[in-house]
Amino acid sequence: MKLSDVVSSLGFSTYPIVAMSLFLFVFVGVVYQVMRSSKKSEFERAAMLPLDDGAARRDSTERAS
Amino acid sequence: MVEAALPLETPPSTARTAERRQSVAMESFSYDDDIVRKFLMVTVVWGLVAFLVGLIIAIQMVVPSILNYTTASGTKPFAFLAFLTNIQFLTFGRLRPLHTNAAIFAFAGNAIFAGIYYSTQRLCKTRMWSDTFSRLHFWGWQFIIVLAALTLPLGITQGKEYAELEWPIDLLIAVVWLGFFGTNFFMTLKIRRERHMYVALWFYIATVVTVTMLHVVNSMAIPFGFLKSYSVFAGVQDAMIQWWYGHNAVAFFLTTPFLGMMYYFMPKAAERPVYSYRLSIVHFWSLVFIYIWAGPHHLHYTALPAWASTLGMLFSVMLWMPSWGGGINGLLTLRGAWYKLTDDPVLKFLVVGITFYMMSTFEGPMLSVKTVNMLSHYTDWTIAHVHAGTLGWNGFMTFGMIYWLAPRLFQTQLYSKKLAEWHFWIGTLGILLYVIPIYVAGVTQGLMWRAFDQSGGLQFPEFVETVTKLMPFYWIRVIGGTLYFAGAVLLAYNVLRTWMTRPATYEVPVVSAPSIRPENVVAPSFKSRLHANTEFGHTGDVFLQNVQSAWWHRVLEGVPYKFIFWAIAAVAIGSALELIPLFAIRSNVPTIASVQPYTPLELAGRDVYLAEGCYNCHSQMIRPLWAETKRYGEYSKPGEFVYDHPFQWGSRRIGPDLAREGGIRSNLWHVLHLQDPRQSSPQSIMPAYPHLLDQPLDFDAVQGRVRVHAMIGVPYGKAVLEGQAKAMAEAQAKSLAEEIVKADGPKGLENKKVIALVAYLQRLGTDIAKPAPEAAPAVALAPPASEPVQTTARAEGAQR
Repeated sequence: MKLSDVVSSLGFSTYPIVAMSLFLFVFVGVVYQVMRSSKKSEFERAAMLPLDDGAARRDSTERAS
Repeated sequence: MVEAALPLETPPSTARTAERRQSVAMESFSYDDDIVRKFLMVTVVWGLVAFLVGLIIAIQMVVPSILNYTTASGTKPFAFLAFLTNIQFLTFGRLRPLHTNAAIFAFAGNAIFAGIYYSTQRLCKTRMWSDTFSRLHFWGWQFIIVLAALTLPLGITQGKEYAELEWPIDLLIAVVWLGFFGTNFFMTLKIRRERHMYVALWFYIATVVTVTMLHVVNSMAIPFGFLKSYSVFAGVQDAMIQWWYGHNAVAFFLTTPFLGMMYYFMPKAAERPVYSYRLSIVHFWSLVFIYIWAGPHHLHYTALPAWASTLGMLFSVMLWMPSWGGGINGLLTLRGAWYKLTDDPVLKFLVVGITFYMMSTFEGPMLSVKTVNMLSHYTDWTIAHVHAGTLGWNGFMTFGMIYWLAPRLFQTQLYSKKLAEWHFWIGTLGILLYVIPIYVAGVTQGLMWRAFDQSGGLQFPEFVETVTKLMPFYWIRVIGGTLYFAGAVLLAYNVLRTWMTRPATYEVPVVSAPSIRPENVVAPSFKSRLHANTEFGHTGDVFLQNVQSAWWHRVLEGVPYKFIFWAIAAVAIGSALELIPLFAIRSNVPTIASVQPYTPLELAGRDVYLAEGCYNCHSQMIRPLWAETKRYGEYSKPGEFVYDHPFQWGSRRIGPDLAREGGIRSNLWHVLHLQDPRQSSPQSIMPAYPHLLDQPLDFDAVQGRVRVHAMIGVPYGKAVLEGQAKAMAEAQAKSLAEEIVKADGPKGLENKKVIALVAYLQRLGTDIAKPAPEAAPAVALAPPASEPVQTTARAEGAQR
């Protein structure tokens, strides 16, 4: 009996479907979380990050806290 | 239960914040822009090389059709172009890998590094962790590119698309990519002074992690000397691994890093934040979760099990939504500033780049649908699709970034905005003149392959008919490619002149930002909001509140290593669950009793086939479609490829499929055809290989090749014994050469490369028609027999 016979009997072939559902649920969870949580201000601040090159600014202390 | 798992103490957050604000120390530092300048310069240089090689191979497709053009006076004005079709180092099969590698890893690769080094430092408010590692990365990567440019034209290749480089270079790539670049990047994240990791950084993380994984797995091979190695995977499994790699190279080398750059440079150029940060998060996670599954859509109707390619198709179709969500997010960043498009070449490039991203990511899922793929696969449609993606998306995003960066990095004005505008228009026209005719060519050829006449036969039985029909389109492509290249020349000139006006010494601004120390995110402690309920109900409500408050998400993104872990988990689990069943389940690759290992001589011939890059134009995979079995013969079975290290199914038929080439034509025909294809097929566009008739075959190496194959599981029996393989190869070569001489062919071929290649070609696809051997597997020495057909029953059931 070869290893492949053993593995064949484990029913691996359904795993891709299981995994696909799992990934789908996790993904739906992420979307739900991002859309629903009331983190608007945090996201707005995050979105400004590229526009702030870290040049010495007076408000940077506030920003980091 | 949930509560117990969390830190319990909750100091008053306001007091804590105030305390921290007091203790925050401002730290001064400067950004390393020198490394960005370096990467930017080589991006321009390698871009020119990649486009030029692309232009040369586009010309190679049309040159054979005019070589023999004769004027009224009997002269052949274009005969001098023959060097493009018969110099061994310049043949299409060797230059095409050079073109793809240069475009992807040299041009796009260096562009990615320039973008990442510029934006990561600024988003993390820190200098790169190690200047030494930055330099090692830079010079290491350029060294790899030079090695690639030297080895590929010499025919030193593993024979797997986009992963051609041989094993020593592969090792170098792993060291430079993960050891220098990855370490430097992750350590920079660790020492960052900005708590929140901006979404662009997420895309970079996914890039570094996934490319490492793809490269390591797909490059697993057993070396044979310094210049040759054989994939440990064979046939169907190698195909699956290869396209898992190939597609995700597109996803994680040409898509995610460029999306990160889009999320950074688009707001920069538009001077406003990204349209929706929320959407960008969804964009990221959906791409990471879904992309990794899409690879098998490159193998529809092949000998790959149907469930695998269906899975690939489903996930590909799902990709449409996040891709467009992301594209729209990028475009709408310009909200309220569309007027800037009229006089800013940077925005023009970025907007058209994103538009091409959306077009290619619409087209990709469409091509992955089996019924569409049935027509498009192996045709130029795929070529047009990838060039819309690379020329439009990768190219234009890079150009936009360069025009934005150049004046800032060289601390001067852009030399000429007008030239940049010219570049934009010439480049756009170039892309259109490239892709539109090639789309038409693809659909035309696909339809011609499957057309049948009133009597039920193929309407175009001669393959070459379907090629000559495409010549006008190929000519237009040459024009399009020339325009795109000309645009890049304008870019190079513009950057050069900008660089010439740089200050004598660059100013290095000192930046300061407060340091942040790693700290724990404090989990809020929730109380159940329910009044009368069971303990389970209360626990459940507390859990729900925890989930809703999403404090754990801040933990996740605060610690890059956990974030990296989850990104790895997503891509690794997806890959494993997709790949394991194929490897582990016996029924997926049924063996065929009559399929035997290649003889030592055929094996040597197979290496010639690989070295010449024949797979760039010839597939070895007959799909179970009426038009294909009619044209090429019995469709290919998974069990036929179990000894193919690596697989050679190919992805494009510029020439006909070779899966059942064995025994159809005489040995002499093959020799003469290889010497000059236009002797036997005047309209052929295949390169000539006269050198194969002169160069000696290295019989001493045959033994080693056989041994390596035996090591990875090919049952070579007594052929592995010292001297055996060589003797077998010489005997077969001698008998083949004698046959050729008997047919009035050239003499003295018994020790030339061509004899091995012919032996290999004559073996292709013949095994299933042979009787199964009764004894234990051993190498069949006899030349391919045209014996009665006896296909094993197991092979028949293999397809579905």
